[in-house]
Amino acid sequence: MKRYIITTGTVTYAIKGRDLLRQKGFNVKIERITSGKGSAGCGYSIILTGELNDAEKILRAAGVKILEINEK
Amino acid sequence: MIYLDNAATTGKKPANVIKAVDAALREYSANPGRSGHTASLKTAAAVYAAREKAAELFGASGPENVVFTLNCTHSINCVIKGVLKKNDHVVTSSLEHNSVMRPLVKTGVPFDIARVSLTDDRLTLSEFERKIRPETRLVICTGASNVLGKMLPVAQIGALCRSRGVLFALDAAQIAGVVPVNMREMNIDYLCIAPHKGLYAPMGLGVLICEKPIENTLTEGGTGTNSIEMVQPDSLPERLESGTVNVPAIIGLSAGIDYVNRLTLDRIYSHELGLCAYLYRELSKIERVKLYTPEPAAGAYAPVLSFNVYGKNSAELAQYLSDSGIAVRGGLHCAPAAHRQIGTLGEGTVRVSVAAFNTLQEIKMLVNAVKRA
Repeated sequence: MKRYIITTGTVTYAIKGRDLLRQKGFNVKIERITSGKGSAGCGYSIILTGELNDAEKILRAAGVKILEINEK
Repeated sequence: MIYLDNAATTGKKPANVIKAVDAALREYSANPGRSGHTASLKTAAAVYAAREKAAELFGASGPENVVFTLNCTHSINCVIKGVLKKNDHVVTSSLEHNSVMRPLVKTGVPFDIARVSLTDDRLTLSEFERKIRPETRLVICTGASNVLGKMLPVAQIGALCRSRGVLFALDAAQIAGVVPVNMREMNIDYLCIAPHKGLYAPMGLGVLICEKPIENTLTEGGTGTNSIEMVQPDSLPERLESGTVNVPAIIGLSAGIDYVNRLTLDRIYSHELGLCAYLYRELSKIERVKLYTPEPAAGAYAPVLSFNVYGKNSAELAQYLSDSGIAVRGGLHCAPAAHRQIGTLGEGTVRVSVAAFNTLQEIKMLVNAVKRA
C-alpha cells in the first residue's frame, strides 16, 4: 500500500486533517516535516497509508491548507 | 468571603478546571506545535481540542479560527490594530470598556458612538444604523456593559453590519459562557473572549475567533512553522500566536467549557439573572439606595448590577462591604463611558456581578450588609 506525506505546515491543520481522515477510516498519523517544502523551516505533515484521492478531497473540502503532497 | 466580583474574574473555579490545570502542569509540559516528539504532539492535541470546543460553543466555522491570546483586551487590540487603516471609520457603543476605547483612540481612526438605550433595543439599533457611514469599516461593541449589565442587541447589530458590508467585532467578555453567542447566526466576524470569566478558565488567557482575516499583526515571532521565512505565516491561528501559548490555562479553558456545557447556558443564565433580579428588588426597597437601570430582565441584561448608597462614595462602600466579608467592586470599572452615560463619572458605582456558584443566601447577606451601611 502506498504512503503519502501531506504537508500542512501547521500543527493545527495537521491535527484537523488527521482527525477528519481517521473519522473516515483512513490510516494516518502526524509527523514533523523531514523533507520537501518547508523541511528546513519546520512544520508538520500527515502521513497517509492508502488511497490519496479521496483523502485529499476530504481535506480540501474541510479547508485544510495543503502545501504539497509527496509519495513516501 | 462572599465573592460577587465575577465580572472581573470568576472567583471560584470548578473542580474539573482545577483538576485539568493540575494535570496540564504534570502531563502536558511539552511545547505544542514546536517539535515532533510524542509529548509535544500530545500537548498540541490538547490545545487543538480546546480550539474545537470553543469553535463549537461559539458557532465558528473551524477550530483553526480560534486564536489564543494573552487576554480579552489583547484580542480586542489584535482586531482594532489589525483591521483598521487611516481613512477608515468605526462605530462603537456608549457603554464600552477601555479595552475598546483606548486602542480606538490610539489608532487615530475617527469613530462615532452609538448611544445604548437601557430600556429600548430598537433605539439602540437605530443609533447604530444612523452612525454607520459609507467609509465605516468596523463596528465594535460590547455584548453587555460591565457596569450596568445591559446587553446590546448583538444579533440585530450583526445583521445590520452584514447588510451594510461592515465588519463586526464583539467584545464578549461579560456574556461568553452566560448567554448563547453564535458567530454564524449573529454575523460576528471577530469574537473577543475573556475565558477566565464566564468560562471559568485561569487568568492570563484570551480567545479571539476570526471569521475574517486580520491583515496587520501586533506581534511577530516563532510559530513553529515555516521558520526559514522572515514573515508571519498567513494561516490562523499561528499568524496571531507568536511564542508559546499558555497551555495550562488553555487546558483549564477546555474543562471550563465542559463545565458550562454540562450546566447549560440556559440554567446558568436563569440562575444568575434570577439572583440579580432578586437583589435589584431588595435594593430598590432601601430608600438610601440608588439604582441605575430597570430591573434586569431576561434577554436584556447580563448578571451585573450597579448601585450606590446616597452619601457614600462607591469605593468607601465597596471597602465597607469587603470588611463585611463581601467582595464587590467600586469605582469606574475601567469603563468611564458607561459612567458618563448614567452620570456617575465622579463617584463611580458599586458593582455586583454573579456567577454560577453564587447562592440566594449570599445575596441576602449582601442586602443585609447594605442596609447596615
